[in-house]
Amino acid sequence: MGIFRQTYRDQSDETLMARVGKGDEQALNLLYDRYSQKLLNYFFRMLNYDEARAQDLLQDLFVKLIEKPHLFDAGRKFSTWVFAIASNMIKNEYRRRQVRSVMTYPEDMNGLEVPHAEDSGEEWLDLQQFGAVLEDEMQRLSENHREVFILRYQEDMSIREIAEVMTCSEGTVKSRLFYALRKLSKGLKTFDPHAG
Amino acid sequence: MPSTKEIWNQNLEELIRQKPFEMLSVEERASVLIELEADEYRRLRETALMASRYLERPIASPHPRPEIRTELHQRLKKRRSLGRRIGKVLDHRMPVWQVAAAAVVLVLMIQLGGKSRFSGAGAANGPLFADSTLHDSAVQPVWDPEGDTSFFQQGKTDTL
Repeated sequence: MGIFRQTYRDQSDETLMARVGKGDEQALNLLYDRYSQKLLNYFFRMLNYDEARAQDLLQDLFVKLIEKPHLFDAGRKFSTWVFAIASNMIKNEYRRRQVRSVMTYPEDMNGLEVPHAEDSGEEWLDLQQFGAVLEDEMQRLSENHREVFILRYQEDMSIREIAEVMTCSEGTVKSRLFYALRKLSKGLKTFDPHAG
Repeated sequence: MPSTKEIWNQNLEELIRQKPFEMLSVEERASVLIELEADEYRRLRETALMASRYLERPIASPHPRPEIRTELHQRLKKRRSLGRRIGKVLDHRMPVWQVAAAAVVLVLMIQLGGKSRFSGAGAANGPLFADSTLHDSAVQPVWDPEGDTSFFQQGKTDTL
């Protein structure tokens, strides 16, 4: 049993996706373990912290993978493909409801974060305060700027991967990233140690 | 002096994340200063590094609902059983004699049943529509001054 699990764990995302297409539950479990939290984080931030809708979209996305596995191009990287689907779902969602600008950021959210061992208490508090303002400023960005920023800073994707997910040129990604950073920086001036 | 287009090709955001202003080469510094001032570069770098630290750590988003996994397994099972049913139909084996008999019947049906009375040589001279009129006397009114229908006899055709 241990060896069996090990062989599954070693499989690439692309191989696991091919197995899901054949109805393999174990492969589905592993893909879900690898991507569900990441995708939920992405949906959650892109939907102004609408948790219920983010959960719905997460489920819908995996249902798509199960019911239309033939749409996966085996020559493509699974991670960029799955985020491209997520990105399209977000666009549809925006179109559908014209995004409510009401921010429902839960007040106790900060309490869910766990300080890293390397952070001193003061540093962690600073980062938490910075994070709260950053989250607020991110919601003020345009849809494209927010998406590019989340994919880059939260998902740590390369410029090429982001271009693939957002179906635009690498130049556009670079430009959007720079302008997103510039806008955020203006809103976060109070945290600038070089200021004043 | 590099053009703005060349700066974008270098990816300014990447440069900001990687190097403090003081570490930039003379060429890099020159190209950066076309777009920004040194202070703004420093501020952007601070924002980028802090954002990176904040967003890369486990965030305060919720965890996936446990019901999602259950639902997905049910969907997968459903799809698998549907696949099996289709597979069974496709894998179904028939005896050779049945296949041969079905083929013969099909050929005969095409040869015999394919000839209609509207096809062939006489079809052009025949009527376009063939029709026959049936007269049912039972629906014709019967004169009965007394309003008594008892005079009708069983089995007798109603004719006027």
